[in-house]
Amino acid sequence: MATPPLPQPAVAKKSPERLIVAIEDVNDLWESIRGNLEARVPFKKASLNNKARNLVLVDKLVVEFVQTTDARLRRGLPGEQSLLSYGFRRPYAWLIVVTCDDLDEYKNLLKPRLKTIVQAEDHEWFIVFVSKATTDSAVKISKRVYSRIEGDFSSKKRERCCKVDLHGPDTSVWEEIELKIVECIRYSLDRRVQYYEEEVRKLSENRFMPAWNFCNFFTVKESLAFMFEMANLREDALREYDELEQIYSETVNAPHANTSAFGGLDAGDDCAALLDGTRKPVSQFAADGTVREFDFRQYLFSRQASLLFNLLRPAEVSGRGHSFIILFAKILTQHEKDLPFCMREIWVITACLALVKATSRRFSAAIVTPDTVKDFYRLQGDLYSYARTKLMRLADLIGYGHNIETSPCNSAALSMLPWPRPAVWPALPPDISRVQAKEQISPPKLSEGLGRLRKQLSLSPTVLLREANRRRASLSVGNLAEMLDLSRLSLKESPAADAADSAPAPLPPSTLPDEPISGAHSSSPEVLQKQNSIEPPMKLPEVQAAAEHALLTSISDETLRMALSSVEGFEDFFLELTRAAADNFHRSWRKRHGVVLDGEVAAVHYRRGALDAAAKLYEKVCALYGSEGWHALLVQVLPRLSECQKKLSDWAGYLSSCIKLLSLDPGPISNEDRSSIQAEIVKLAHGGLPVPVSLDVSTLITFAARGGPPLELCEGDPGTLMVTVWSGFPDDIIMDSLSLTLVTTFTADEGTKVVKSVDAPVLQPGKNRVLMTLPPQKPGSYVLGVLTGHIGQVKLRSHTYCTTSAASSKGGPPDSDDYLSNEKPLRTVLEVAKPRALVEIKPAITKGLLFGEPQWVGLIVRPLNYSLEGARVHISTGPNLQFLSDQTALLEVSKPLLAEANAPSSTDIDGMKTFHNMLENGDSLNTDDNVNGILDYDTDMPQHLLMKDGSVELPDWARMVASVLWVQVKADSDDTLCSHFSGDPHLSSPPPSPKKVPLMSPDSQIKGLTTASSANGPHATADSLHESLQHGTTGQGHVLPNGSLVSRFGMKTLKVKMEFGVSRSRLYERTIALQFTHPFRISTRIVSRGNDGRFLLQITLNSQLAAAVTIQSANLLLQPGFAHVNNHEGHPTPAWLLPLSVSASSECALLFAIRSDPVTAKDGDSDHRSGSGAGHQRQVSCLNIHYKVSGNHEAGVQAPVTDSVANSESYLKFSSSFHLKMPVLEQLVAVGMLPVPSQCPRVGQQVVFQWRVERLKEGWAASQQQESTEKTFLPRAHSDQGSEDLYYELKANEEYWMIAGRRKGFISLPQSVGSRIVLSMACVPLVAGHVHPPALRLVNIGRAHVSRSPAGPHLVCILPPAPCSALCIRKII
Amino acid sequence: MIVCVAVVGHNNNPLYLQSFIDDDNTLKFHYIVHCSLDVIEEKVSNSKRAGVNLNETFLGLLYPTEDYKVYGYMSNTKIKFVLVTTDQDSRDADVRNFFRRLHAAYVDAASNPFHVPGKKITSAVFAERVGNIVKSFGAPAPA
Repeated sequence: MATPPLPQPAVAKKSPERLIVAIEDVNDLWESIRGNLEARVPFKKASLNNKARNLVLVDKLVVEFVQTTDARLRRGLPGEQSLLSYGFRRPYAWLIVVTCDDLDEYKNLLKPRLKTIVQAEDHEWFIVFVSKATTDSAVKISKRVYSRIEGDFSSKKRERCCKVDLHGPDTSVWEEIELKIVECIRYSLDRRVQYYEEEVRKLSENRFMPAWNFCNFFTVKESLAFMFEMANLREDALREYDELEQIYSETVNAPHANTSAFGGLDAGDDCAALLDGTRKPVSQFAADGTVREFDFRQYLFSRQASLLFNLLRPAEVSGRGHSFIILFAKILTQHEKDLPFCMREIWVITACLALVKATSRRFSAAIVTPDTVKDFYRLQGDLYSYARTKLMRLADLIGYGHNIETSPCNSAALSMLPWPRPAVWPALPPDISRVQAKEQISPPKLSEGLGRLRKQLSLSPTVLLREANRRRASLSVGNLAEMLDLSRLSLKESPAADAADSAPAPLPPSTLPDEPISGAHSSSPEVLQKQNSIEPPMKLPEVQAAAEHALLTSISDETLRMALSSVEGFEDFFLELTRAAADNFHRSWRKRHGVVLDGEVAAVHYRRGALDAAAKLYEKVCALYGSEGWHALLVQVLPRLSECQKKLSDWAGYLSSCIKLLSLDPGPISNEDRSSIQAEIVKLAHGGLPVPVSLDVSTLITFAARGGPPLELCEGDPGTLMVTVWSGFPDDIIMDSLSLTLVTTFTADEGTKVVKSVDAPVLQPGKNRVLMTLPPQKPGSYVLGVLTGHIGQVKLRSHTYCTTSAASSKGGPPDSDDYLSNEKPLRTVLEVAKPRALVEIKPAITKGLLFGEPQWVGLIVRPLNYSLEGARVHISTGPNLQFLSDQTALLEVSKPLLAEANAPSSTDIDGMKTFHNMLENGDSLNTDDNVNGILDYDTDMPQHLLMKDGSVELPDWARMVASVLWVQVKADSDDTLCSHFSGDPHLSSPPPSPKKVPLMSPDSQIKGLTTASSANGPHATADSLHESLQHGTTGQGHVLPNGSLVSRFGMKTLKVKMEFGVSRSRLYERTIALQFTHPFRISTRIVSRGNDGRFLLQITLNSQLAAAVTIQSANLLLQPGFAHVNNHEGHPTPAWLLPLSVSASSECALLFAIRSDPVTAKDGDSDHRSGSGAGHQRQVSCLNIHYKVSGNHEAGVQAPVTDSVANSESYLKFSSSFHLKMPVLEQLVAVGMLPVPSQCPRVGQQVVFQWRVERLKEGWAASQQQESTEKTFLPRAHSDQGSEDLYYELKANEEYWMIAGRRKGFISLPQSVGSRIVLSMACVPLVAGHVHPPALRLVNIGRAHVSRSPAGPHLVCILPPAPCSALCIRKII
Repeated sequence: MIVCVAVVGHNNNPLYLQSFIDDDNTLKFHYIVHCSLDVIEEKVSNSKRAGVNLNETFLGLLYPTEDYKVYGYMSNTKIKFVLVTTDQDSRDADVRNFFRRLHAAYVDAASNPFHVPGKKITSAVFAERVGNIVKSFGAPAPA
């Protein structure tokens, strides 16, 4: 197959190819329509078929109108050039411009000519008829001519004519012409595409034939692509190039591909031409008859790029370009041996930069999606960083390695990248000055301070010296080594590479295997030393100088050459690339890339002394690494940051960096370093800081409250809070103070409270326990807030508190990362309760206390969920209650039994349970010694407490349980009792007063036994006494009919004051009422009476106590005028009755047989009458009882307090006195009510009641009363001789009765026995029903002397009033 | 040849990183793995555009660099597995298989009740297992 010459697109490329429309100007009319036509270029609405035969709307279709007489067209006429190579440039449409205003002329001249033109070639044509007619006739003729032309040339299938009226108003004809032109172009294009495709297909089929030449294929394919491009079908053109590239790759990579020259050896080839398709004329390919890969691939890419740029897709150029550069770099690696020194690196740098420059110039973020924008910037960043990597490699090669930061980023980029492997290492330059200059470069000083924490990372895959010398040695002796493939010591097996700049490089261990293989021809420096005779190995400065010289002479790119010619130039260029890469990454998704490169920028700043800028960038990097826990990487950056901060005197930042360093995983930093960092912090804190600094040490110090339920405090109570603090400091750290904020939850004010630790703590590494003092808090729940510690001028704050104790149980600090943070509940550490009752004190026994005896009063002290630790009870007494302020009180656990007896409540039981739990298990709430204190205590035995000044302190065990405090009191009987009783003329029973047997109470404080006295006259009778007891209405009402004694005189008060809470700040006060009583209430009654003056006295004893009382003995001392019948010395009858046991609240009676003793009565009377008080004592009878109370105070029973020596045989004495009156032996007058009429009275109807008064005994009845009625207002009775006037009074309820007559008056009764008189009184009942009838009383005769017989009716039935009517007939008349 | 295997937690914190070359310079792998998280995020967040199936755990080649290749894999709990290899042409299926086995090993390690989720994997068994997986990389999968 003949090889056609390659096209020469050089000219065409400069000005984009246009579709050519040929103008066949028959009648020289072109100029007249040219303006109109060219104004429409480019065509807006052209629709063309693409390669897939789909109609595509092409906007801006550029066409060029060329007259057929034009030389350009002439040159392209058929026959001169191959259709294949040039056909696509031929006109796509022929426009035949004609005019004619004569039919004949048309027929004879124009038509044949047109026929000739039309049939001359196989091309798309159409006729434009231009009419210049202005007159009507001319118009008609031209119309006729045109229709004739239409008839001759147009067919039904295709209109090939159109008419232009130069003077006509219609302008739509131009559009029609445009459409026609486009139609022609479409047809031409379709035909040609088809033709080319056919050719391509044919060539493709023969692809694997030996004679096949790619150049032919390329020519056809590219022509097709050009054609598409001309037709604005750039997508199709691009596709052609893609296919071309693919087929080219296949061709090149085919196993039997003829290995033609790779290229790249021309001057300037090191400068990438991947966007410049014109640098190498492609005709050169033709001249060589083959394609050079180096040039051709770049050319292909440049074509693709230019199409993509025209398609407004610069982002795609970036993407393809990036891949292309990587691919091409690999290809260059394969041909490295044939290429100039470091050609690959230089090419990549220039390619990346060219690509970046071209794409960023054309890129506009406005027309693409945000995703594309980001992707574009990512690619730009990739390209920049790629260029940067290669630049570093070159710089390292020529000895600028010291200026490259040994960061993980650079290490990752360089240490896996092999050194250049030229066939021959460049030779030493002639001038030695370069070598000397290299020798003078000293390795950088090792960082001091925290910088030593950074690891020195290798930047090179292996030792440069060895690599370089191997290449050299290969000239002379190293061939063997080459054959043995020492190059397998590539990056994969490369040993721990030493710093490339360590000139006398220690022998890497992996070079050892070389020795047995290569024997004496090892390339290790030592061996090479022995080969001095052959060729001395180069030293490192020599290697570097040689490389530099080679590079500087070969680099054609000016920028790069400048960059590599000096260290400063390199740094500038390096900085520019790094910064550009970082910026672009920041604009893309790859924040990490960007930030890491920022760190590289910072390194340059740091080296140049721009510490401020460096620190800012380093902070970003540290934040990035720190936030995601890449501590190993952080250690590489943080020391540098801290150095910057230190030099900038940014102490806060510096300390913060130190703290961060300490909080890193312990792995990368040794303990010594950690300790020194801590020492540095402490040193700075205690001096050297101009202003106080606050540091966040959340990562280093964490804290937690102790587990379990929150500490519960009552409102207003101080307390202590145990906080566990984990310190991450390597050594003990001494804090000046430590404080903690408590944050309230669920309160409106969201207040925070600051609490301080008890003492300045020393935090040891690991777990510490710190006690915090809690001042009184408001009610609410609190969580831990911020822990703050002070060291000198440094404030350490920690916000991290852990809620789970999972990690703490392992002894380590809790998790500081936020795993499961959403589920982490806010743990309350402190609950402060709302104000409430905290303690309750109530009496165990309130009543039934004995007067005059030392009594136990129990005070139930019940804490209401509140500790009474250190509580003190102070007791004072009210009036008439004696209380020994220094005594031994008893304290015992409140027994449920007791609690039930008094006021059963659940809290008591709870309290007991708690207490018992405490006893059994010990309580974690309290310190150990307290628990022991409880365990020592025997709950059955009350504890003796010594009371001082009425105060007693509760022991520890009683702080959580209800306890009973027993104190002794003694109540005095009220002295006023006597006067009260004496003021009562009828009440004869004085209050009983207990009296202690002296034996039992040696220290009896009872000064005087209250004795009762009676003011009643000696003539009072037992009957009257009995009566007064029965009714008791006339007295002051202390004895109620129901029999229970509620005497206010027995009420005593006890004031209890309790100081409790922390530092006894709380006070509880209560006044407790105690009721004291006598053991018995006595009542007397005459049981039977004989006529001989003897009678039987029954003394009823009502037990007032809640326990059984044993009466041992009873003795009644009688007042004068009475004597015991049997001379039993006052013992009751019968004598065997005693001792007698009386159950609680029951009663018993003692009987005494008594007779009146006139002998003693006289003495008594005289004594009494004389008014001397000496005999007063004898005027009362006294009952003395010895008794014993069984039971004890705990059961609510009050036996007197006994001393320990008291025996059980001791008895209490109770004495009660009363006054006996002489029995009434005779009655003087009898009053009897006569029967009322049998018929029931009616309301309003008068009834006559009659009373009969009869004298039973002769004499003056009324005179007996004189003594007693002296002071009364009663009129004195007028006594006639033989008769006596008795004062009467009718008593009737005025609501019931209207009395018709004198209510009061005198009746005269003769003195003789049996004299009688009847008193009648008319009464009118006022109400119906059973009512008491009026009663007659004889006022001046004592009741006892009046006999009521016959007794009157108690009630009288009164009928309602009769129905009153005149018409009514009385039934009974 | 596999030079580094890493497991990264769902908060992008390193859980496990092991280099398989005789070089004490593992920091560069830290860097590579750390930066590859960018690409993983990019792939995951733009899964539609990148054509990655959301249910697909294998993320494919992350870095097309000249010297090494980085592959990624992300479990549905957002645990990322990163593989750095210097093989220029490793089969996709091999890499997939490798990641599957690595994932299984991780699941076993994370199921250890003594392992704190989100903390570094310190299990020697896991390390050994990873070593075995690395050794057998590229070899035909056991039946």
